[in-house]
Amino acid sequence: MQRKKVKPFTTPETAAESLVDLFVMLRAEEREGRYAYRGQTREYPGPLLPTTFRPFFSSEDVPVDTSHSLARYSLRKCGARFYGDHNFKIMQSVQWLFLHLPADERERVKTVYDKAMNGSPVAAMQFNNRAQGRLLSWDEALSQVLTPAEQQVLSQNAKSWQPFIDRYHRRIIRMFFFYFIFGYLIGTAFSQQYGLSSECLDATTDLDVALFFATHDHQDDYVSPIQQGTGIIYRFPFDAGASETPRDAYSDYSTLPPMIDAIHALKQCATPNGNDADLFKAFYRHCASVYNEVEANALKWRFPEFAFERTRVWHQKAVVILPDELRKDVPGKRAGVAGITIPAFQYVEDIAFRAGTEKFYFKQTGRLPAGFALNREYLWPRDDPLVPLIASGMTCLYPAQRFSPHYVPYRLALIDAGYEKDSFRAMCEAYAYDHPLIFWDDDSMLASASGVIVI
Amino acid sequence: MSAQPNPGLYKSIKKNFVSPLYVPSIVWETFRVSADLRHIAFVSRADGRQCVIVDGIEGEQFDGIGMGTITFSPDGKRVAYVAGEDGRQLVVVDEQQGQRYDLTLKGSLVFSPDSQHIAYGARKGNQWCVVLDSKEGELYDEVYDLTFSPDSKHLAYCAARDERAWLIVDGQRASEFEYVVLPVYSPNSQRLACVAYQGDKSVVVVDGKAGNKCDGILHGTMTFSPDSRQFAYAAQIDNDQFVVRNGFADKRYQGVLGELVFSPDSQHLLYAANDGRNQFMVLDGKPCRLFDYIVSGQNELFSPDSRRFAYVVKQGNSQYVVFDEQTGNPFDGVGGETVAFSPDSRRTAFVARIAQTWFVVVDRKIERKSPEPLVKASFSPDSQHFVYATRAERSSIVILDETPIFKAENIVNASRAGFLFDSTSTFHFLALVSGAVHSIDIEL
Repeated sequence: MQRKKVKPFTTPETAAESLVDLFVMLRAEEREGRYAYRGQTREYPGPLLPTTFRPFFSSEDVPVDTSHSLARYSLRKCGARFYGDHNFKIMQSVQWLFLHLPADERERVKTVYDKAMNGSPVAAMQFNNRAQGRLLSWDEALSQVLTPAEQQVLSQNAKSWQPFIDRYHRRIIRMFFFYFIFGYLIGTAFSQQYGLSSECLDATTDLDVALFFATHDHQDDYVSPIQQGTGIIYRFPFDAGASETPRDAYSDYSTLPPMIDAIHALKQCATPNGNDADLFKAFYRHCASVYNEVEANALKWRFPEFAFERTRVWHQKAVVILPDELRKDVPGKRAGVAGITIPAFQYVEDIAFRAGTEKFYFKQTGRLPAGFALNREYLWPRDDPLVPLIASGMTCLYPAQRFSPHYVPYRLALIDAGYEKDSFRAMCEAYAYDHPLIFWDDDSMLASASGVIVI
Repeated sequence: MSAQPNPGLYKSIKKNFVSPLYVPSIVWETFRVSADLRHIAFVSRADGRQCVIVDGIEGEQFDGIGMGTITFSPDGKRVAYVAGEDGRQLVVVDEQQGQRYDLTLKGSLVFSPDSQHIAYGARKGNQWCVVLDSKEGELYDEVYDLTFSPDSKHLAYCAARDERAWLIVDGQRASEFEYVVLPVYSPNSQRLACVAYQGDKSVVVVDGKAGNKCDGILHGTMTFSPDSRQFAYAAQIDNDQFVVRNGFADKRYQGVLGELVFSPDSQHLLYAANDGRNQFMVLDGKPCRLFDYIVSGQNELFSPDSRRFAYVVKQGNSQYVVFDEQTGNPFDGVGGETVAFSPDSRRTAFVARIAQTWFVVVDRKIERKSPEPLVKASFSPDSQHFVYATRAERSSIVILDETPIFKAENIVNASRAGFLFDSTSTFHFLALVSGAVHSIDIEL
């Protein structure tokens, strides 16, 4: 009987002695447009899930496979193993935030949590200040709204609450800015690339980019390659042809493909016209048409070709992997922005088990292949022309009741800086100050100037 | 996440999917479990519309679903509920919509014990009728207290019109009273009792014969013995309360507490009473040991062989479970409805708390502690096995004969009847696994 040939480097025990060995093999097998890659500095225990889902699941959880009754609800028909129910896990985790408290104190603490998460007075504070030319961070606005006793509660719980608050704010910003303004396909790609989504998995068509992320991490601000431990390169089958579908075919969440070639998505918005000076004006006109006319205008967003190659999307040759889901909409619920409906249940694909996915291990030695030239400055270019648009858009004064009862918080700190976060955030704030996007009518501005809460 | 299998303890664990939980839209208060522990149902709500989800299958959407109206038939195979649409109400049975009425009588929806029939009260204009299997009965000013006989052949209810009231049996007026409430059938379905009012006095009527007048009948105390031959209730005259058994009054006390409990062999009657200074159980008319308080509830019970009985008391700051008139260890609290005898009457179990730590106590021995309340324990029919669940961090663990055998996110309905033995070697329960309800069958 012929023994099946075992691919090298596919277990921790057979890890490549150095990244260079693995690189040589992967490069030799590379075919243009055939693979996407993902580099990780280490292996995370449990299933391969996008960041947002990872805290809720572990290898102790029972996966659901395609033989399970729920498998008929597969959204993208590509998953083999799923973890869920995500809604249940979130509910359980939130309950655990408060369960240790005495019953009489629980309600009081929960009220502070709710304010910190989605307090309309906090949003009103941000909006009114923005109308008067000031930009308050969420934390600053929150501190002005909470009583001293409430602030004490917040400071005692900030560490455990922050992931939940950030997660909620990301979702609101994603839905009511990224999807709303750029349409679903581009909105998904951009929100993932710029840190406002962690519901997808970052990948790249460029093996070098994957090598960078497999060898550099935030601990030294992505300066030097790691010298210890075992790194991972995932290799996914990639069908470049699938990206030819026009962006308006992706009308809602359920129709998105399992992988988005972000560069191709960007190219679909190409316009030969424009220059740096016009970038913001064009974006303002686009946002005005979406906020004030129809949501469908989001699909008319255009971006000048000359600016493509300065974006991080281009530099990172970004591919966004969407997990398959076993998901069913809440019955009777009307679809919201971009056709998204809250799922009644949601089981998320363990992407490591997607057909064709391969996983390669290597020992971190601090050595990189000869001629390797990527660095953090290239991967997160500071002159990325999309950053000012996103920073302004995330601090825009949209028509006040547009998304009520939700309010889009100003959270520039959530934009992924890559490195040197403080200076990047200062840069984003400067963009927001320099290019305010104001869509309030005169009455709203007047009311705000008079100190009247308008939301 | 199954615990490590223990082949010596069980042969197999089968896991069958029942339903997801619809967490964002579920109305938790409506969650219902069938008596056979195989099915679940709940209301899902979104954007002003509601629907009932039964085992993951979505029903028709309505303006609203009546709170607390989801009702499983006793065999668990049928489901009924009250829905509201366009300002009117209708009863939906097995997803078939009934006629629309101005209103349905709150709490009246009831299946017969054999699960074949369903009845409820409904209002047409200013009058009410009882609807039995979609057929309307006579119209009255009021209809109430619907009850099927245990053999499912009869339906009794009370009706009133023009200051007259009737006990209605199978659609016919059986007796007329000034007012009448609470019909109760005997286990053999041959006898029927009710409470009638005559002026400011009350009287219990059994088999059409009225007993002695009294100032009041303690609601919920009318009970037949398992052999249907005996009948008892608690009554009040002036400031005294007393139990009447087969027409003969027991001694009068300051209060009769809780329910009256017949032994399985129908030979004994147990209830709690107080004399103003102490509280005590009364067995066949004779007071038992005196305590500060009898913690009355669902913990007074006889063993299956009728020879033993148990109850919970409070003495000083401690609670005790009393078996055979012996108090055993003190606890800070005892879980309601958790006291149990094994089928052979030899073994005992209950759940109790010291400070914030809960224990399951089997045969007077503290078996396991848990940071959260433990759930009701069950013995196998041959009394050889004992199963219960305990809470671990973010999960529940099923313990069989003191060995963990299954880990889940939660055990559904565990505080009531969490585990059902189908035979001496098989039992099942509902558990949350991967955030969805699964039916778990374990073969020993």
